[in-house]
Amino acid sequence: MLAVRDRVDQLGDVLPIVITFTNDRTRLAAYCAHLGIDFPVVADVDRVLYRRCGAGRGSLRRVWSPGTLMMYARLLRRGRRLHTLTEDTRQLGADAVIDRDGRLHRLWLPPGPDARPHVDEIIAVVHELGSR
Amino acid sequence: MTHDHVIGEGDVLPDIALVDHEGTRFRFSDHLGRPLLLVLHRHLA
Repeated sequence: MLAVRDRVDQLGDVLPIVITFTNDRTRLAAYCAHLGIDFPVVADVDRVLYRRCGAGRGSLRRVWSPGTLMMYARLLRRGRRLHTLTEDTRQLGADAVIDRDGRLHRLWLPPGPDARPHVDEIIAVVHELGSR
Repeated sequence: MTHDHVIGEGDVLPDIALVDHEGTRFRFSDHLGRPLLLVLHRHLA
């Protein structure tokens, strides 16, 4: 997310949208403020979109892999504060690029938290759509 | 094909009603004509 925020100027007219499944709306605003992002952060409480995109739940072993622990360690070293986890930590994420007609252009379904696509790859796919 | 089928590349994104931090409905269809980058988060750590 931070990588997308830091390079949002390279996304052209693409609108980034962060989707979570928290049922506590107050956390959405706090999250925006904490990360300093000004694009929409919205909740899919029933995880309908997660299911439609095929983002399932990972195994404990995969979700809390050494790579995941190292990722959180890096975030902590950079000053990120982590909150007590009250949500489903096994829910996996996804990244998707949607074209101007509302069609899914590219979907990434990382097998674990430490395997999200690199922002360079996302930007390259966004550029496939051209700009207006 | 069920209503909950998994979409693939080329499929239309389902217009799911989402909600923002103020409780306002957010719909993808309101942004047709503009590409979107969706980041489906795991959880808010």
